[in-house]
This record gives sequence, C-alpha cells and structure tokens, in this order.
Amino acid sequence: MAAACSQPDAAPSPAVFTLFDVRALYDQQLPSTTRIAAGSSLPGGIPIGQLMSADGKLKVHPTWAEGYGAAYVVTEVWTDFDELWVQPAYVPVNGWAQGMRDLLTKPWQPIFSVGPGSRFYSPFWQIIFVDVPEGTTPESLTSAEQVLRSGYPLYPDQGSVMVMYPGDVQFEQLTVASYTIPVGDVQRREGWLDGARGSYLEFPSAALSWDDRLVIDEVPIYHFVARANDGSLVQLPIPTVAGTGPPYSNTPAPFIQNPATPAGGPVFTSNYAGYWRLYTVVLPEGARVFAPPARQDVATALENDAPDFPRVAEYSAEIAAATEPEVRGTAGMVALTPACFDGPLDAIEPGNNPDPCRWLSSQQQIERYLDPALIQRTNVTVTCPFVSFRGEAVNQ
Amino acid sequence: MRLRALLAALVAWGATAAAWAQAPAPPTADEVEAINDSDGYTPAAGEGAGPASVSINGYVDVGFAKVQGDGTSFAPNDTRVPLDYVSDGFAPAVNSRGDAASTYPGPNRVINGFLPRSAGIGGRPSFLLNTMSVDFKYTAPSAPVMFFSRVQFLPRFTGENDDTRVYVEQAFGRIVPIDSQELALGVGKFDSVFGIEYLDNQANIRTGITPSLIARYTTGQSIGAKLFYRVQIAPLWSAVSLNAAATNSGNFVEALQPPDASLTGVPVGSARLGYELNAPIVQVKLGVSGMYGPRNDQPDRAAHQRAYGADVRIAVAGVYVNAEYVRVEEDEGGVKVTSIGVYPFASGFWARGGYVQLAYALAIDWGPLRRLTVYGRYDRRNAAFAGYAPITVDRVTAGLRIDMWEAVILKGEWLGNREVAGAIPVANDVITTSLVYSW
Repeated sequence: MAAACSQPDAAPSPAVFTLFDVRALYDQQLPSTTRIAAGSSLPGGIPIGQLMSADGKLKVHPTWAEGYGAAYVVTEVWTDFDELWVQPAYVPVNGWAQGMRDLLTKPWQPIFSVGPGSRFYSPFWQIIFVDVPEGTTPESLTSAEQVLRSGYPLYPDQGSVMVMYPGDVQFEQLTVASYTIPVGDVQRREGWLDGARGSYLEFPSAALSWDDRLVIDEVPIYHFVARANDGSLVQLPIPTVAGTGPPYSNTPAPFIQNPATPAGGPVFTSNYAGYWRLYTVVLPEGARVFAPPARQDVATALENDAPDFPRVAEYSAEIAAATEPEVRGTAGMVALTPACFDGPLDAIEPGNNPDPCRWLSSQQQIERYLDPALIQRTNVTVTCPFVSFRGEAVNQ
Repeated sequence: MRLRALLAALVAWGATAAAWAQAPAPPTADEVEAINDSDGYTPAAGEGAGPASVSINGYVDVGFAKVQGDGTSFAPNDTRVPLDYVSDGFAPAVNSRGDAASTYPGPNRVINGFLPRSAGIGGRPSFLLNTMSVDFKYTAPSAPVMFFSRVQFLPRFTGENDDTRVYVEQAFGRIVPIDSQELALGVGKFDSVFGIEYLDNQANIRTGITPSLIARYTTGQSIGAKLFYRVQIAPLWSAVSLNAAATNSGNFVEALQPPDASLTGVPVGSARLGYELNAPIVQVKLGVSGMYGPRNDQPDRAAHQRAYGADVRIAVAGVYVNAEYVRVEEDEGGVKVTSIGVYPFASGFWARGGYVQLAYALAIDWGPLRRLTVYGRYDRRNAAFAGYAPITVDRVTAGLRIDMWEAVILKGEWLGNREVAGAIPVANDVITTSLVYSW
C-alpha cells in the first residue's frame, strides 16, 4: 500500500475525443456506456452516450447557470490538455457592402485549416475574412494553402464554434417529468478542408475568446461527486453548475436580457462559453440533493448511480405536495443546509436572500460556501455549447 | 564487353583528370571514412594496440550569413497552429550544425518543437562563431582500447538572451577484440550509423556548409552501444560492412529527440549494411539503413518510429557523387520533450526525402592554395503531420570550397529554398560562408 501511495502520477497523455471517434466506437458495435477519458481525474470518465446516441442524437445535459436552468450538448472531450488553441478558418468575401461583409456564399462556407485527425484540431476557430476579387467562385478557394498563397487581403475577425462532423445529427429531446427542455435545431453546414468539402455543426451563440498565444480561455464547469463507502469518488447524476469565468474571478453572468418588443423573441441572449474545464466538487457531509416526490426520477438516479450518498427521506408537507413545475427550478440542486426542506416551498427559492438552503447553483456560491480543497481541477476539458437557457431554446 | 569498355573509358578519363589536377583529391567525407571506418570523423577501428598515445585536435568554424526575410520559414500571415507543422523551419540553415537563422515565430503564433536550433540572427547579416570543437583521444598501451571525446563550444545569442552551450557531442570507449578482424565494439555517445550524411557532420569535414533537408532524421548522435564489422574481399577490391547500434534516441538530431536519456526505457535499434568497391580508379559505396524503436521525444514506449534509407557514393577522377533517400514514420505519442523544450504532444508524422550532391575537386599547389572544390546539391522533402496537409519543399545548393595549407578551409554557399506544395512560399534563401581552422 505504501509503495502504491508513493507511485508518481501517470505521465500526461493528451487525447481528444470527437464525434468522429464516438461514431467509430458505435460502428464497432460498442454500447453507449463505453467510457472515454476513463483514466482521467474525472471519476469514472465519460460514457460515449453522454455525447451522442447510436442513432446520432446529441445528448442534452441540464445545468445550473447562476441558479437558473440551462442545457448544453457535449461535442468534444480533451484529456491532459493544459492549453487549447484557436485555429484560423478563412471565409471568402467580396468586399464590404453597406458596412457588412459581402459573403461569397450564403451561408458562409469556411475553409478550415486543420482536420480532426490531429490533436491540434479544435472546434474553436478565428474567422479570417478573405477579400477575393469579383468573379471568384467558391470552388476556386478550398484550402488554407490556397488562401495564403493567393495573397488576397486577410481580415481577422471574431471566433466561432464550428464542430466538424460528417453525418446528420439532431438534439435529443430531454424530458423531465412532463417538461421538455426547449432546444433549437442543429445548424448543419458545409465547408472545406484541404480541398475536400465537408460538413460541420455551427454554434454561433457559444462565446469564444483567446489570449495572445492563441490559447482559448477556459471556464469552469462543476461536477458534483461524493465519496462512496469504499472511499472512492462517484459522480452524482445531477445537473452540473456552469461557471462564468476563471476560478475566484467573480466574473459577471454572461447573458443579456433583451428589451421587450411587440414581435416577441427571446428574453435572454446567452453568451456562455463553449470551452469548459471540468472541476469536481466533493460534497461535504450534510449536503443533500433536492429530490422532492414530484421528481422521483432524481431520487431514483441517485439510488442507482450513487447508492451510498444519503438522500433526504422526508420533506415538508408543502414541498411533498408540490407539482413538477413548482420544483422545476430547484429539483436536482444541492443544498448545504437541507433543513430548509422542512419548511415552506417559497422559502427554498434560489433567489432568496438570505438563502436558507445555501444552494450550490452558481460558481460564486460554490466558491463562497466550500473549502477550496473540495474543488478540484480535473485534466478534462470539453466543448459544451448551450442549447437552452432559462427556459428558452438558444438560437443557433 | 560494353561494361569493360565503359570501365576503360572511366580509367582513361580518371588518369587524364588526375594528371591535370596533379594532386590528390580533397578530403571529402569519403576519404575520411576510408581513414576512419564508418564512424565519421572519429578514430579508425584498427587503432588501439601499441604504445599509449594522447592526441588533442579540433577546429574553429567562423561563419557569416544572411538569410532573406526574417530568417525563418514562417509566412507572415500564417496563424495556423502549430506553425512548424505547415512550414519547414530547418530550411534556412546557416551552418554545418543545421542551425536556422531564426526559429522565432513572432507574437500570436504557436510552435510545437519541430524546429532546429537557432542561430538567432533573423534576417540580419551576422558573423557567427558556429563551433569551437575539441577532440581528445587516448589509446591505451598494449590493449586494443581507445577512448575518444568531442566537446563543442557553441556561442549563441537568441536575439533576447545568451544561449551559449557547451555540448558533449561524443564520448565513448571502443575495443577491437580480435586483431585479425575489423570488428569494433563501442559504448558511449557516438555518431549515427544510419546513411552517410553523419560522416559530414563536422564543418572541417563537410564538403559544403549546410546539411541536407533530411539530415535531421539521420545525423544525430546518441548514447548506447555500437558494433562495426567489415569483411574485405581483396580479389574484388571490395568490402562488406555492418554498422549497428542500440541507443537512447536513434538517429534524429538532438533538437528533435534528446539523446542523453531514454524517455521510454527502451532502446532504439539502427543499422547500416554497406558494400564498397575500392578499385584504383573508382570508388563505389552502397548502403541500406534502417531504424526502429520508440520515439524518444515522448514517454510512451508504444509510440514507435521507423526509418528506412538507401545511399550511394561514387568517387572517380575528382568527381564525387553522393545521394541518399530516407523514409521516416512516427506514431502519435505523449507529451513532447526535445532538447529545446517541452511541447503539448508528439503528433503522428511521416516524411520521405533525399538529395543528390555533385562535387568536383581540383587540386592546386599555388601559394597557400591546395584545392578548389565546386559543388551543388538538390534536396527534396515531402512530409506531413497527422491531420495536416502534406508539405513539399526542395532546395538547390551551390557552393565553392577553398582549401589552404592543410589547416584552413574557406567555404561559400547559396541555398535556394522553395516551398513546392502545402507550405506557403516565403523568402528564406540563404547566403552563408564558413572559415574553418583545424588544429
């Protein structure tokens, strides 16, 4: 045992798992429980079904964002990547018309600079507009080499999250109790890589920024884990918590509330990140998951996946009688002081101040309430663009 | 009959040329090898028995070089990551060590360790003290054992700070266990056994100045054990040799794979099987080489590297033709570690390439002049990292070498680098000179 404890950590082994890899595993008739990143510091790794089902549906994951419900999909998983880089994607334009770029094709057909066969591939691209002469056809510029050899003026622009994937995909419909989380449609488009046409999934709402070394800024996303009776850590089958910025940075929530218009439209515009670092949060003794009778599925999942984790046996009569819509904003959330479950329903609202439950539903709460030793950076990073935010489909 | 006529013509041409030259041919790598078996510029296998002896030799290589552009092969508008996967950072070499004028990528650009050492001069013309090399050799008395070391002083300034190194390039002991056999066993740090270009590593030996575009794969020293065996077939003026080694890093140059420690715990095997014809008029040497083992720029022993090559040398009447072809494959590995630094990871990689070099030496005995050698070389290299489009580059080299007395060599060389496909054309042609004092 002593020898085992003195073993040095395994050498880092950088790996990236894309939707191509997941598809390849399914093509080998492997089940959706097949795990990737199994040797990572995320206990248990990640089943491939958490990315995509065998029939090509991207799994929608619920999360908490500043105490509100949101949802995302996972399209890439990296292990042992301390840094990830933005790559250039070239978009031909015919100059500018009325202050707007006059795209050579609509929608644009980006010319990507690296494919998923490299670990330098990432779905995070800096758009570089290429001002091509009049009469240029889309088929005449199909590789980064051609763009750079052409000598046409280049105009670096902002970033975009574009996930290379050849097949048709859809978002899974995620229904909890009677509620289906609203998600938009996948935007499947076409682009070029080294002269070959290919398709990709576009997530323009996912925010993307990078530093002067082209390293993409990562934002924490918190996975709750608990210690089993045998001492091992297990992931809890409850929503994650999406951070807003680097740890302990008190970064404001990245969304805006849109002004109301007669035509309607989304109330919120999400600018949450596309690139996340997984952090595990070991729940302290006494912390409990809110699993009221209206959400028996939460309790059942806990019993199946984390049987040693204590569950609350009794709720106040008011909470026990609450309907699913009444607990939709809190079911699956972690409370540090679950004594609040004995009280009235309106006392457990996440926005209450003071917060009798001491919910862990935002980065700020996790960092404020918990010993930093309980929050562990893992060697796993992921692409997780939001597809739903505060009850609205995120416009892709 | 036709062969005999051709041989007769060669003999006649050789005799004429020799009479015109009135002097022996220059000490190219071929002759060095004839003196020094196949170990390059290291002592001959037969040395060792006899009285104790100590010798200290060396050279100083002073250069002056100018490279177009910023001294790199990186196109100004190229922000692809990493930049050294889509260009050839080795192309703008300025000295016999293969140092590029610059490897600095500039701001907002990323590299991943597929680069040579840098001379740090960028696009500015500059004097360089390329190498000060000191050889120490000790031959044991009455024992077939010899010890050899080569320490090199490499003054460099990167453009930001001092990067001077003292580098132990070789240090080994060698035993010749059977007097009657050309069999030598060596242990330590020694030259490559792959191909022929390693014979030209040192500036005082190399016909020209800069290494070929494939030298990065074949000319690196490493630590391990080596065996050399040669059988002479006197009636045919021929010999067959085997040079084999098990080392930490194989034959890649130290900028790509650190030779001084095994990162995987498994040695890399390499060998060359050679045939040589040493007729009075013409010398022909042929060889095939191979290398196999874990790549030593990362820790995963399952990530292998493989290399295969063939070489030919012909020397006749002052004309020297050297040609070599190599193919390299590397599996994807873990975190990348080279002698220069630590990088994100070692990517899957393949390359193929080669060169043909033609040199003509004119012996002169006029004042300090001893020889004039004109030479030219054509290199071509095609390579790709996993997930990236292949790049093809080529290079034309032309140069003049002047040997004065027996101790001074002055060389001037032009390198015309060309990005044929994949890589973006960039101004990176080189003009470089080298003044070598041997002692």
